[in-house]
Amino acid sequence: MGLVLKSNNINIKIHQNKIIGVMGINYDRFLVSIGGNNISYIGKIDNFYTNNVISEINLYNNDIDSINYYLDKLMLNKDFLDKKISDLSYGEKHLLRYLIGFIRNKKIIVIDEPFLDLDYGMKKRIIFLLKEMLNNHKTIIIGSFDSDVIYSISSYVLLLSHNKHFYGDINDVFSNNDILSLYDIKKPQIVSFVDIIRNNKKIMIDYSNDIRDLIKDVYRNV
Amino acid sequence: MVMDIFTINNLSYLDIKNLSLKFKSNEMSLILGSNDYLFKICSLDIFLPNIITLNGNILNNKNNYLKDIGIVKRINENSFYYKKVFDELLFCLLNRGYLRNIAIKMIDDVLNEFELSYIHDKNTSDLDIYEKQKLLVVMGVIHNPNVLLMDNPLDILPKEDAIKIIKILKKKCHDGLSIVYFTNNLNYGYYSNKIILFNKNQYVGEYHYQDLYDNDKIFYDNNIEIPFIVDLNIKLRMYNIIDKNYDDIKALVDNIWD
Repeated sequence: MGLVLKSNNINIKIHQNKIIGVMGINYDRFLVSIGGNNISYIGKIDNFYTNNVISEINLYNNDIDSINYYLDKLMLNKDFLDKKISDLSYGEKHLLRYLIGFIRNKKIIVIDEPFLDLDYGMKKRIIFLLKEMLNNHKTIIIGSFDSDVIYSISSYVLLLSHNKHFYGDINDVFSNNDILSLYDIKKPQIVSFVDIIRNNKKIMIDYSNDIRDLIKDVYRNV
Repeated sequence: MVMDIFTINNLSYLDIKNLSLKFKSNEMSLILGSNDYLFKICSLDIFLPNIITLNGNILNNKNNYLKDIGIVKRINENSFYYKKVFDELLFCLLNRGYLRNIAIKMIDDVLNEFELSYIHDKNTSDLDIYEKQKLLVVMGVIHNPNVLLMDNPLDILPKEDAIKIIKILKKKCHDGLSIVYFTNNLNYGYYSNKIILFNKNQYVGEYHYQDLYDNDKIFYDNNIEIPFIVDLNIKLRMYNIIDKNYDDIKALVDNIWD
């Protein structure tokens, strides 16, 4: 623990250098309201101020080395910089929001719906990139309505509801039916599978967000 | 009666020649492709009047086009022209030649159908982004089009809300609507009648949801993620832990250990 998140009505200590999931009522308003100078926010709707990609990026950073570095990381061609924003697909717009979020080089990166409009290949790329950033002392906060998304990448999760919140280890929270019910959160599908095995068959399969590890564990127990 | 009502022809701008996509009434079709594909509805906006035939007739008449087609896109800051929700919906109908008193009744009915009656008297600017996105769906179907083109508008909504809307739209399919949903994921694959896969502007093939169980490699090779329950079945079968597919996780677990 070490980082204090301050928003309009919640102050909460979270783990540094981890990926923290945020879910629940008005989670998206919470993400926007997190205060501080060292935060880069990557949203889910268009809020661009210029007509083309490079001028939009230059609003935040002119360092061409940094821009090229993250273009490469996101596997985008340099041609991407010359495009008109109106010609971008939804997925490309989300990648532009990522590019801008990364080049601002802040300690905390807040992302609303990290995989919105991204295909499977790009989703895997983003997961790899975000985990890599933890080694550079970044803290990643991701929000989503979808518990499968949060479980696939987070180590800890913050649940929000009216006038209350709950923070804890991802497996502890998502295997706790009372907490999930209290915050009206649906259990991730992969956790449901494990819980049905544990509860109905009394076989202690380990929780995992990797389906391949899970299948191997099942194989050892049949 | 299910019949071919809707065809997209002459896709030469996609480097796809001699391909016609046929869509049936009463059906929902997914057009699926990864982020690097360009077959998206903004292209259709430009080419729509020339490439789509409906019941054999080319849709080159703007009035027919307005009446027969509904389009739903993702919410943006220019999505609405009017201050009030009611006025926005009324314009959708008056613009298509409906009389005012009939239009007012249609607005009440469609808002009720989508459980959105509470936004009837609101300003569009007072809606949250999810209500705005749902309003765009309503605007796409309020005139009872024959064809509804959707440019992945629902992924921005909570999953449960999106599925609720898909179910409402599927009911409209029973009344003859043909839905074509452009997307890069299989979130609504279970509800679709067919899945047409593209990659880098190339046509890959046409599939049904059940085909995913035996064709997962084709989808992964084209950067499309398979739904969890399908992936789980495929991997358990690969390890010879199960020998048939299960849609229900509990039934699947029972089969493994009973």
